[in-house]
Amino acid sequence: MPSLKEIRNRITSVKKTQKTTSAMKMVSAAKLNRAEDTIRRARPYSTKLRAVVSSLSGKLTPDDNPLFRDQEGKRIAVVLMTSDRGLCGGFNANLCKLLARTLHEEGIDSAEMHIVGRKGRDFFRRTNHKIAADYPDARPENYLDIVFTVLDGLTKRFAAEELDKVYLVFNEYKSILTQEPIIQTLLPIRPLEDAEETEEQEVLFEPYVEELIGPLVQQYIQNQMYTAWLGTLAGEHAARMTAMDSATKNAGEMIKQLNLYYNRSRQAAITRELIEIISGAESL
Amino acid sequence: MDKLQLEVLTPGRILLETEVDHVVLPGSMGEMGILPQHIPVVTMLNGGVLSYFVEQKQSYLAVQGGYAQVDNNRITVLVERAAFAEEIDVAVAEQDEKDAAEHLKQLLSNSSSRASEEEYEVERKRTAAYEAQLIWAIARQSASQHK
Repeated sequence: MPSLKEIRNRITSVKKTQKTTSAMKMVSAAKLNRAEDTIRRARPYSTKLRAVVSSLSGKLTPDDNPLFRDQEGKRIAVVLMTSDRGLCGGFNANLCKLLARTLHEEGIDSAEMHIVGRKGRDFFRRTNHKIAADYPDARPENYLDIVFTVLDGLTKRFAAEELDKVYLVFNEYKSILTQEPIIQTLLPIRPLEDAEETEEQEVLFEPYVEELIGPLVQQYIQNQMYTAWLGTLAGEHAARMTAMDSATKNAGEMIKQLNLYYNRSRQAAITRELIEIISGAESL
Repeated sequence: MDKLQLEVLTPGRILLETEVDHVVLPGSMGEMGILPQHIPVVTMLNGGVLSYFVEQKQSYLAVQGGYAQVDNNRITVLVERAAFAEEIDVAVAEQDEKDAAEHLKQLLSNSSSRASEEEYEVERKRTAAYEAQLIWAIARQSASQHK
């Protein structure tokens, strides 16, 4: 049985942990507010851009732009977005596991990984997949540069038929309580499944299809990645907030039990001492 | 008469979502006037001024780098940057233009010594700087005209 002092130390330690977790929860909540605001403002643009591209994709063929080329193959590149830091529940682990499982099911054992965030890198370092590039210190300020470097290389190689598919893997921010792991096929560009059937009507392109589609599609891909990244940021904070909230609650629970145990032990010790004194007095 | 549904969006903001009678877009091949019942069009936009009419009243927006889709009386304008003419501070715009020109000059003087793989990056920044220059110059013009 632990001594009273040990229990007391234990209680102090749990209390300190609780303070840390509740502080982390507050910080995440504040950061989440900002991140959530950003993604909420970015979403309409992204949705519209997606609608424009997908309404056109039915009318376009690989001849118009190589990024629409659809072919089977196992040369796969993955752009994975995770957070740098942990303590956010299953946020990163779930995503990485889903990706690993999906790749395994598709029979791909060495995909080329481009990883934003330290956690994803740590996970895939232990697998057969080739980490082509990682960005452990992706800050919002230099984010655009990363997008440009990653996507420029990938789209060029896709167009040159060196890659068959490019996946974008990220946590979609649905709400504070739910972030959904998503594996999206970034390239080739496919029409949206829920795209409404547009009437067969000639669409006028200005200046010319070839000149317009390239930059439009490029922008679309960049925007997809940008939105995914915003979602990851918001999701990380949300996940951490939830995780820290339950950690704080658990710590409270534990403190309550330890206190109970402490008081009981103290009571027992007092009783024992009393008995000793009384029996000592009686024997005199 | 039919109305047009006009939406102007940037990655960070929804500027407009409104019914209008007539829109003039700064298309890549010149200005385009769009009236209701226009055939479907997808166009690139130049940096410039987008204007729209509601009940004979004309309003102005400065836009830079993007696309417009016209489909079924709905105009969707997706641009990198945009601002209402009333929002533009002429002094700030002038400063921006100066900064862009300075930036451009620096890039051009550096670019000769750089590796060819970075040419793309230089090109991108140059275009962006040039567009910014153009856009704010035009925006300033339109802002001063309609004060």
